[in-house]
Amino acid sequence: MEASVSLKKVGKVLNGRSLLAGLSFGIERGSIMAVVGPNDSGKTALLKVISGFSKPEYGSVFIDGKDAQLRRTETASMVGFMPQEINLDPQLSVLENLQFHGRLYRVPRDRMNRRISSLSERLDFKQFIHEFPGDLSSGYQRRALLCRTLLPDPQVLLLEEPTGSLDLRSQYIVWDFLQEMRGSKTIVYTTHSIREAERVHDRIVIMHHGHVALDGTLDRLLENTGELFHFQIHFRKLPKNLYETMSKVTTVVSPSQVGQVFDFYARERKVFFEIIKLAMKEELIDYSANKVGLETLIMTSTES
Amino acid sequence: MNLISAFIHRRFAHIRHRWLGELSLALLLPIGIYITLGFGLSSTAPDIEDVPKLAWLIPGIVLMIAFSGGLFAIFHDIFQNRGSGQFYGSVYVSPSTPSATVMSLTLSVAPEGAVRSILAMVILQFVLGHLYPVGGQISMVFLILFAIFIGTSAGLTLGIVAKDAITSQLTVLLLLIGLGFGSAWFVPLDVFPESIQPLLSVLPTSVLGELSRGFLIGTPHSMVLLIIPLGTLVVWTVINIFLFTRISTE
Repeated sequence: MEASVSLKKVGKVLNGRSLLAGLSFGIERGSIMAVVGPNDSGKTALLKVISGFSKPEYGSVFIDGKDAQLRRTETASMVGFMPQEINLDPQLSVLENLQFHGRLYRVPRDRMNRRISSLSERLDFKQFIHEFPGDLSSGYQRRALLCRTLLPDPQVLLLEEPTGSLDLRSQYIVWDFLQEMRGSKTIVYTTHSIREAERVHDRIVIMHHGHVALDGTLDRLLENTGELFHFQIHFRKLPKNLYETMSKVTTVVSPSQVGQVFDFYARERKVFFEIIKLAMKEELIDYSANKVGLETLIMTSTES
Repeated sequence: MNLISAFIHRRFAHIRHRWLGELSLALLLPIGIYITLGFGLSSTAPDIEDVPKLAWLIPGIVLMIAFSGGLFAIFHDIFQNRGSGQFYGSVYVSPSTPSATVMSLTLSVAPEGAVRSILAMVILQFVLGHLYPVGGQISMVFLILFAIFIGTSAGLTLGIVAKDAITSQLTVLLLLIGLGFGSAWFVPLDVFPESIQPLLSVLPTSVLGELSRGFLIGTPHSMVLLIIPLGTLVVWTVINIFLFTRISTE
């Protein structure tokens, strides 16, 4: 499928720290891409660079084939950026904020009024449209912010934590609405919610230290891990020599000790029983055995 | 035009939401300044034939109201909302160019500033009981706009470069006092040492003061001097566009 957004060797450095390290990838038109990763992994920097707010130190961003720096006015009108912070004008009502934004993006008045009416109804905050942002709960503020982002009808939506601070019902309202746009708009969003990323995506990008650690659909990412299982055995006291013995078992993958917990991965469940046999002489408190999911993938792929 | 209209609508909405405070300020500020400066500085005003002594002071007060109105409106707006997570963050990522944004912001304050200053001129004439020539008052509107634009330019620069609220507000206060007196808006230039008088007389704000008195009370003036505030505005706008570009991209 044709790429709606393309990054070519995009690098961003701030105060000597590399936020994005030569990223190159394309985002398919009409797809939903979830960007996940730990704090400081470069998720926000990525959205800011694509939105044009942040200038990359090197490399180029293309929106619909147009260089975002050289043809900024054209590309900016195609992109809607919703930041994590509520950056509505606190001295204007929600409606006035939306009207200002509509004028900023040259939306004709009739169309603007129609869209404000339909979007505020769809996002279920029409009753608060004459209120000041500061008088609304953070959930309604975020809905107003999303409405503002959608108002000019951009082709590309860049959403930073779109459902952060929303209750469960509001999250469903927002995601049902955004999923209706699948196919017509390219949506890139960052999230810390594993459940959200697993549920709503065509593609997941796991970022770490400004790099793309993993990239693909959830099934594909999990496929690459094979039948990997994650085990944790909690001891009353984990002796050093026992840890070393268990770590040396050839079928044990990525062993580590976290306090008194022996943490490891394995391709087969039976490895767990081999380890248990070795550990029988010590007092065991608890254990867990899980098939690897997105959460574990993020944890393992972003280990320093 | 859309962008200018967007910012003008925004300014009007701000004023509408606090109309009582804005109206009170517009009505009381000129009288407050007039009483304060009129009693204290009337002796320094030069004698002009057929014109009350305090009629010399009023053009300076009107220019100060125009200048400070532009300065405060833009300074507070930019300083409080300039961060990437603040309101202007949404303006930076819009299709508007920094130059269009800076010019629209500057122009957006003109209508309210003009109304405020014209109202002050009318009130002060009523208080003084002296009517300036109508032609002079119409020409004065032109100078009021210059004072507003210089004020907004100063406000924009300070709003962008200011590091913290206390230092920047102190700077704004010193600027207002310094310009009010140094531009001969409140006292004639000849109260200053002779060595600095030539420097003060070519300040763009001093030129506006000189021309305003020429228009309203017929003191000698030269229209050619208008090139100074005009040139200042052009250069300052270019500087502000550059500064705005710097804050609008990380």
